[in-house]
Amino acid sequence: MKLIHTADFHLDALSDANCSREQARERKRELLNNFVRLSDYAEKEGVSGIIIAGDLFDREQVTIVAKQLVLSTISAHPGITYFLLFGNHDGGRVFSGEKLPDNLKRFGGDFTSYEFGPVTVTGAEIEEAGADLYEKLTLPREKTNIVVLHGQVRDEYGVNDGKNVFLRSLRNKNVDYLALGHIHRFVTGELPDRGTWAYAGCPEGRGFDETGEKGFALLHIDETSGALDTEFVPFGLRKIFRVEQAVTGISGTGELIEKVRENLAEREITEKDSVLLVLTGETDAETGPDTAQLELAFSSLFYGFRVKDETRKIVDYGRYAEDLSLKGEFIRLVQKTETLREEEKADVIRLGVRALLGEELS
Amino acid sequence: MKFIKAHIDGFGGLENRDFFFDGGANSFLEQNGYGKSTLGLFIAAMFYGFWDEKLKKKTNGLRDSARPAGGGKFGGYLDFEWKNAKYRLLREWGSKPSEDLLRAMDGESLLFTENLGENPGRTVFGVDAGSFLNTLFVSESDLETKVSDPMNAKLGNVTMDSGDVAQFEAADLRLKDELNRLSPTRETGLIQRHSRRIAELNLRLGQLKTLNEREEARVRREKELTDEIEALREKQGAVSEKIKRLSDYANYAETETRRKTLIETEKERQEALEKAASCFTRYVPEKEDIVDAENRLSETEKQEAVSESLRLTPRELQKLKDVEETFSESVLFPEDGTEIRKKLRDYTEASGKVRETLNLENALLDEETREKAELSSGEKGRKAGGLGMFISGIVLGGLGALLYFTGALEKYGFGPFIAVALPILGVLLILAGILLLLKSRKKPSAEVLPVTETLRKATTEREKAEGIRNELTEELKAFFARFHMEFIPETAEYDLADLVEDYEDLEALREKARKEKAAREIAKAEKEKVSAFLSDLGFRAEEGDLRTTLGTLKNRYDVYEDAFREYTRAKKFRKDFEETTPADTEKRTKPDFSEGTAELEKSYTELSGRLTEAEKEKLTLRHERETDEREREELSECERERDRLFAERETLLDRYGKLKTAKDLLNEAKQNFTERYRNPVESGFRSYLREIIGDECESLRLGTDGSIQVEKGGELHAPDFLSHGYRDLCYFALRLALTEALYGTESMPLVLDDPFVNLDNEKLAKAMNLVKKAGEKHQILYFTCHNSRALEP
Repeated sequence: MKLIHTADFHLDALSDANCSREQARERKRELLNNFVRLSDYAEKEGVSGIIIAGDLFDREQVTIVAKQLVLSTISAHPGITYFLLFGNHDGGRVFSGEKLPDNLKRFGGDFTSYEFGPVTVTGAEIEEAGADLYEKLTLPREKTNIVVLHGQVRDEYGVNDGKNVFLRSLRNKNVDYLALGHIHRFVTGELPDRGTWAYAGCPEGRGFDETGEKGFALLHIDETSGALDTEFVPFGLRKIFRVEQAVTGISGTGELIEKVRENLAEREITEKDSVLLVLTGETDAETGPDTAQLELAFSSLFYGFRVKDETRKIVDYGRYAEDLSLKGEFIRLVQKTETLREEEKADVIRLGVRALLGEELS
Repeated sequence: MKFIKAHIDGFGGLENRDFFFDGGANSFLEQNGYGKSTLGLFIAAMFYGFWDEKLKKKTNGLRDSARPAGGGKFGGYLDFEWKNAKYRLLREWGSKPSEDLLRAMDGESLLFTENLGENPGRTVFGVDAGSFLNTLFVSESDLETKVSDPMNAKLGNVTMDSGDVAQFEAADLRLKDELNRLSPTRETGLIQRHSRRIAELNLRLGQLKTLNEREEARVRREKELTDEIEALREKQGAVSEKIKRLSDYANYAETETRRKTLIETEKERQEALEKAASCFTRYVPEKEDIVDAENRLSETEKQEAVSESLRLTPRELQKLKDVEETFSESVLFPEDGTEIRKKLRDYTEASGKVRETLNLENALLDEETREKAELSSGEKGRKAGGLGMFISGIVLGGLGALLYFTGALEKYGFGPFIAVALPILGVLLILAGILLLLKSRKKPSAEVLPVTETLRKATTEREKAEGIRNELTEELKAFFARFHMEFIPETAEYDLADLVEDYEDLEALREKARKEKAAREIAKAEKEKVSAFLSDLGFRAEEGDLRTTLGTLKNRYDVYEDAFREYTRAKKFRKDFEETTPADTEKRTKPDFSEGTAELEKSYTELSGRLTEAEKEKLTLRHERETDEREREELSECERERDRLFAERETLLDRYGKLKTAKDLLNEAKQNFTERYRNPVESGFRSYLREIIGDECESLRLGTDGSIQVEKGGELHAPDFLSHGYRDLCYFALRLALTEALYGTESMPLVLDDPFVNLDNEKLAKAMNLVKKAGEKHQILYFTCHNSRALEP
């Protein structure tokens, strides 16, 4: 038997604030359609059930379009059972007043279990649950138990606080697979006694803060022995690549653009993907990389292109120690200002020096 | 600090020269081209190397201009005293910096020392080359240049890279403009505009809460309406049931009457049907059978008409009889016509050939007779000629032999010749005569004439044509005989055409007769089937009135069919009624509720009204939701814009803060800088000016930006307001003040390369006093090319 573990669709979420209105609408439609694509994939691959570990929607008040798309998709795939857990973003009120399809199974504030072939799927919405949540969890040792929760995983004991999932509190609870939602990238680990925990991540990155491969976890369960294997399946329609570019030793924007071009050419990035270019290394505080020029050079090549300047701005204070100029005086003064952090000092120096040189105050 | 000695191996125009310097003012009065400026540059280069190369000025550099024109060693050394110790700086320059050699040595032991560091100029003077040149090194051209520069540039330019103090005002203004552009408080400030827009958007996004509340209220109301509609429908159903019960009960009697009427009608129709069926003595036929019989009868009539139209006329019958007789013994095959026509053509052709060859034969016979006669007369002539020649030959031969043997002509010279020639001539004549005779003796019959041969061929051809004709005659005779006809060559073509025509007529008449017979037989067969069908039904169908009988049958069937239809309908009505109105006992029982029909109907109408209202309201809610969804979509865009503006404002605020800090610190730096350098400079400047121009110096001051300003008429003016000479003096005083400000109490040498070329005598004297006064504090290397500007000892 095959099950899909997914989470964090955040349907109806606002798109990146910096993209155009048209692009925002297009992305919203694409992200909505991910739920349909996933269901179609499940049907095609003979998947019996889809576990959604929270944040299917971005909020409780969702548009009719999003709500109806989800319900109609679930109804259109009667052969698949959907196990839906709400997270910290969405909630039970999403479907208030709606007639729900029979193949949609929900969880509540207390643990609810569903026998599903060789496995038992148990889940609870921790925001709604009490502090004694973990005490209430009892699962049969002989079964293959999947537990669904939404929250930040912590490798420690704890009582339910509605936000965190305390792994050590799940010790000796016979959990074979802890299906988690909340973290937007696929990450997995071992449970204290038996089984594993995993965040499926979001099916597709929504903004430049969600780079890398996105998808879902596909669970293969041996119907005889109940043995469970996990496989990550990349699924995003578009990818958001994080590309780091060291700028140390590069002189001038022209050379930097060429280096970035070479760097990008080494990767399989298509025009429908987005790129977050992260500039690293050290630069002269007085000049710094021209991020605007970089965005201008590459933005037309990809669906989205953003430059993030994480370079360390270096000020060679020694160079100005004996500089009998106003600039030297200014730099020494900035250096002595204790209320400024080092990166702030670099920015202040860049602004002051550029002002003195009559250059653009970028 | 003071210079002691300069030794130049090679530098510009100076080669292998030594210069010694005293502690006070050292004057060098030399002609132009002596190398005064070169010596000044040499001293600077000893401390700083070729400083312009650090500025990456690759063309027309000092290195190129200082390289000795005649080649040779490029460099030298400089001895000087600094901080109570003596030093020697030795430099040898190559063609490029990597080939340069610099050695700093102790002035006493000439051992290498690290006291001067890698950059002796910076170590000794504490400033870079630019600052050194702008303070301690004053040349004529330099002063000229400085005249055109503002004072603040001079102050700022103590480092070589920029006149940034001069840029301070512009920089401050730029920062101020940028701060104003971003300002969070000014109306036009970007941050302020962002804040206003964010506030506007937040205000508008407040509607999101309203929308959410409205949606929640709507969801609640929808649920209420759904429940209400369900309850109303339930009530309406109950009322409807009651109305029906009442109606059923009220209509029970009427229903029963209706039931009876339907049953009776059904019975009547059944009787009518049975009566119609009784018209058929044996059984009721199928409608399809009747239609089939009608079709067959129509076919019979049609075939009879065809038979009638094809019947042979008496004339056709006679014709048939005649031609059948002609062809009684033989059949004329289709190919016969063609074949016999060919034979007839062959026959005509053969007859023509016979006639033609006969005519030719006759002509040839005549010609042969004529030619034979001509041949006979020729034979006779040849025989007579031959005989004559033979006899003449014998005579001549005998005569010759006689003459020879007799020798009768021997007395003549030609006699023997004639005696031989005559016999030879005779022999030849004999031979010729024999030939002619032999030729004439051949038989005339053995010689075949050409005409005879032609005649023979013509005869052969005629005989062959006659053979063909005779053979064809026999065949044609036989052919015509098959049809009781005689072969007459002259009319044979026409006879054959008649024969073919007759045969075609025979075939046509036979086909017509065959078709007529076939139609007749079909008509008969169909008629028999119709008769059999009617007989089977019990009708006596006499020959000829089948149509009438069938019409009777059809009429009876139509009556039966109508009756059957009526019965079926009546039966269906009755059955439907039974099904929809079951005769259950409940309807016969009086309903146990008190409401009457009118009351119930009123209630039903009222419930319908409420139901319609509820559904209408639900629909309205749906429309409202759709409107709100559109509004929500717009608000999503507002939210995105607000988030974007918020993030931008955060960035701008951060930038604003940094800009403000930069501006504040730049101002503070300016203040520090000014305080550190300007005040001592101004003090020194005024002091030196007083030495030169006395109280007039009160009208001159240093501006806050370090510039020289001239006060006149209550207003401050630029130094351009001064005369050229005054300006030079002011700037020289400023340079002295600046030197003292920069180097404090430490005595530094001044290199003056003829700086007072623009001064008149009065000002020159004052300037010289100033130099002397400066010489009390500093070592001075003063170079000039003119006595009038020479430094008095």
